[in-house]
Amino acid sequence: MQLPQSQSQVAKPAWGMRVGWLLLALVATLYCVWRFAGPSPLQTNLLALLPATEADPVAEKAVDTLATALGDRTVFLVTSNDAAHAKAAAKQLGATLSASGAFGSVTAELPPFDVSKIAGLYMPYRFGLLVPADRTALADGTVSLHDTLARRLYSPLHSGLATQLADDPFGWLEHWLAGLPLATSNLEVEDGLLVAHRGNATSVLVMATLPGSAYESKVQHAVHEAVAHGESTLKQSFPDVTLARTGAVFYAEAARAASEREVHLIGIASLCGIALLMLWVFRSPRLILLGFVSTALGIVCALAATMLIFGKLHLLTLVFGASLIGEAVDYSIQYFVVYLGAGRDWDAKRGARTVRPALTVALTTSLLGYAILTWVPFPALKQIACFAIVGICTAFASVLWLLPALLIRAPKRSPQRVFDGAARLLGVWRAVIGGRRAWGVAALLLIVAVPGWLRLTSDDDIHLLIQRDPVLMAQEQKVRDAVGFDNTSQFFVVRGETPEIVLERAEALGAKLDGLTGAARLSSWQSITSFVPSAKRQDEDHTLLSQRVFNDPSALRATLIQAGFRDEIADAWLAAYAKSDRAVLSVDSWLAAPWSQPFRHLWLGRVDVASTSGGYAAVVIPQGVTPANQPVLISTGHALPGITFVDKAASVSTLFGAYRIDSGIWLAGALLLVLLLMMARYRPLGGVVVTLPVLLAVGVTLAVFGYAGVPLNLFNWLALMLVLGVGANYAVFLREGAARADADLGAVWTGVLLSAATTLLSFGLLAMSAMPALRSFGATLALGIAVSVLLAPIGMPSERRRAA
Amino acid sequence: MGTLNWRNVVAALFIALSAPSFAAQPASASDTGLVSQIATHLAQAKGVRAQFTQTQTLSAMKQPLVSTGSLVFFRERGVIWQIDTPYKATYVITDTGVSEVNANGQRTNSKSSDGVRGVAQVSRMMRAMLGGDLSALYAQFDVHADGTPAQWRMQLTPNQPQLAQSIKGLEMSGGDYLQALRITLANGDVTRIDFANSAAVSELPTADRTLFGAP
Repeated sequence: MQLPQSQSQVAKPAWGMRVGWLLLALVATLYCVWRFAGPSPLQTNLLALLPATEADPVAEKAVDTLATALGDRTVFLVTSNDAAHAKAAAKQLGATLSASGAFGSVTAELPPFDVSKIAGLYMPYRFGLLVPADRTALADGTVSLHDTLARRLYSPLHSGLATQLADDPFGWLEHWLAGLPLATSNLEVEDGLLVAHRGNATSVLVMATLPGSAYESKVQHAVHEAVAHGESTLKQSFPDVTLARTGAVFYAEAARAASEREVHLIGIASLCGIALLMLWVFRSPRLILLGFVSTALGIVCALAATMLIFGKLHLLTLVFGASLIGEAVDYSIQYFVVYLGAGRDWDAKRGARTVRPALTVALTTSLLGYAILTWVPFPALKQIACFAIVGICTAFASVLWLLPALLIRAPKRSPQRVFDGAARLLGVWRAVIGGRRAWGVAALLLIVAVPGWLRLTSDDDIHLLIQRDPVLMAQEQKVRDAVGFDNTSQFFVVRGETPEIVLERAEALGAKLDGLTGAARLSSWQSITSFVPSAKRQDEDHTLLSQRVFNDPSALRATLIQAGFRDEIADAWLAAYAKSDRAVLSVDSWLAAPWSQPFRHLWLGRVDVASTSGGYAAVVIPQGVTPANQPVLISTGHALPGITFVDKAASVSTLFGAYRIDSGIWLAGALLLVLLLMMARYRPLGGVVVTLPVLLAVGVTLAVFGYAGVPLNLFNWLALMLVLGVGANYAVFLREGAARADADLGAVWTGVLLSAATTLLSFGLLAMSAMPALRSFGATLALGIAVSVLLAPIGMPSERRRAA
Repeated sequence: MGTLNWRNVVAALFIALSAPSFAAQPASASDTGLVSQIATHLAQAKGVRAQFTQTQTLSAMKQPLVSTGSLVFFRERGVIWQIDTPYKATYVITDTGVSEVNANGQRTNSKSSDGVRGVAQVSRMMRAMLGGDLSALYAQFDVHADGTPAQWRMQLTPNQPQLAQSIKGLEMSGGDYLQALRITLANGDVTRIDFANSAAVSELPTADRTLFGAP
């Protein structure tokens, strides 16, 4: 007998091969286990998905600084129509959260703050600090000193930060302090709590800091538990109280939980579906197991390689990775079809040789699709591409080299009835669309598709990539409304060689912004210069005071005395001016004051030293940015030296748009490349008919989106690239199958349908993802692949058998 | 000096006109009753016109500063605080902001000099109180009242440390209308405002409507 001998020949290298793969699997698995056992390798910071959009690294740094300064604030808003309930509930929440240990610190009741500390910082510099109105009044001399004094003494209106008459008889410092953008106008301190009143509702703010990064899963978990507990106890004691929260930690936690759910759903549903499909067709648990071994190897190696290369794993990659199961299993399915078709003549190595050309062409086209993803400058897409490339390469290699080592024994039976059924189906279907009719089918599809293409619209919104939990978004809006701040995503970066130049440029910008009128008007803007004017400005104000007020000390003294000031008060004030010696407030002194902490993000400080445009930078944040005034803001920034307008969301959208258009061109190029590849392998005409199904699939998919009114985004176009890579496989499998001398076309068609079904299942599940980018991927892939497989018989050679 | 002078105005306005419905917690039940009776009584008018004499006793000044003028409060619009002596000036306080009208009738927006924050707070407190919500008052002060609705006295002491840093207390007395208001600041400065010739106003004269910016 020949059989035992051939088996023993196979056996030796087979064991080596098995051990080699086992080692690979062990290493990859252990690495993954080690990574997941330690600090979570999942990147839950949604902003990390964004590409670097700013040409200027300082602008990019400013985006990060602001995101950190504002994103790490965890704020709770306790609201009730009963003020006493809201306050008591806020205190209770503060105590519960504090006791949970999940937070670094929790502030419900404010520590007593001496407001005179703020006036204290400015007091020594008061002879160089003027608000614009006082500056104008002094400069044009329309208001006499006598009238200024009268107004100061008798006006019914004073601001919250009052100064002593003796220090500030004319009220200039008081006006300066009133102009400080210290708190948003909606908040007041009551019972030591920060309170906002809106209508009948009273809202109380509770602030908390995190003990670690908002993107650590341990921190997220602890915060989640603590807040859930706090909320439930709040519900028990105060049923009328509502709780809103905001902070990066909540978004990150929600995103992680959502994607973990999706990974489980897609993973388990794919596995079960694939197992059932394979069981139905192959009726062999062993084959299913082997298929999963090959797939699991692909996924584990992909996971390990991606974590090794990128360090952290994006949630997008994780979810996409789960859907790769359906594609990775295709290679083993093709192998099993050959195996079952071979029956008793099975030789594992020959089987591998038989299936190799088809798998190689299929792998090449798939790799081409994913390789294009790596060119797009989006971190998540690079990861997805890396994950997929490693995954399918491993699956491919395991089919060619591991499966032959495991699948030595010939099949006991083959599902001939299924194959025969499939062969009949293929025969009928080919008669409908194959051969010469193919051109008619193509023409018909094109005619139907063209109106759909004309209806295509596009969407480049940043939310494609960053989808925030809508419940949390609504809560954040509640907090923002109560607190009274809006924009933080659009701002100006002001740069200069020295801090002084930065301040002067920021002041020039502020003057321009104040000058905007009509639709371009801003509600306000935040700038370091509201706290620290440039030395030049302070000097000018000082000069103004010395020329207009202190030029005649005796007359000034007389004015004060006449208004009723005591002699010693007037003398002390005049002496204070003489002693002030043109003292200039510096940014560093302001930064050193403890109360400046909430505003320090306005000063970026020393930035890139080597750069030509200057070593220091600050940000100016406009409030009330609308589509109407945005173009004016951009041109205002352009018109001044050292100033850039940064709008991360708009930059990302622009980038989406640019790459969406580019990706159309790339798709055309990729199609051409695939066509040339096919023509090289199957001769010109054969190449055209093999490429035709996937070409039509791309066209039909686009038309469906047009008819359905779904706007196309970058991710649809990138997915079409994958449709090209994956969809081309089916025609290739069929063509190669038909080219094999001993092929059972029914078996080949069964394999193609099964491959397509598993891929469709996985990508179809991906189309239900909550992440818009993945949803676009899934929907496009599922649709494109469905059409490609249906049209795949077009690509079969016209004669049933050709010389191999 | 007059740290929170605007609060005086607001407090006076509240006493003069706030609606009666409230359920806050003052010092005692009898005080609650009296305060609400006073409020009910005073809230009957749509508006009030009065003359005032303000006397400020300030440590930096040799003698008390006295100013006189008139006050119009109209529930739906806001307040006109008109100073006649020692200089002429008119301040118009509405929901949208505060403006100063000088002796020549020129309107100058005082938003920039007094700060948006103070103005927003004034208008918000006013709106709350005029809507019958006394919680803003009780949130800031402990209230003691004695007398009868026909002749009453109220003592307001800040219960908030932040406010207590600048203000020691408010004293009010009146009958049908608020008659006197005395503010003692933490630094010892005292402001006293006496109201005279108070009368209910149901229609605003054209001049005042113009000041309020009404059509």
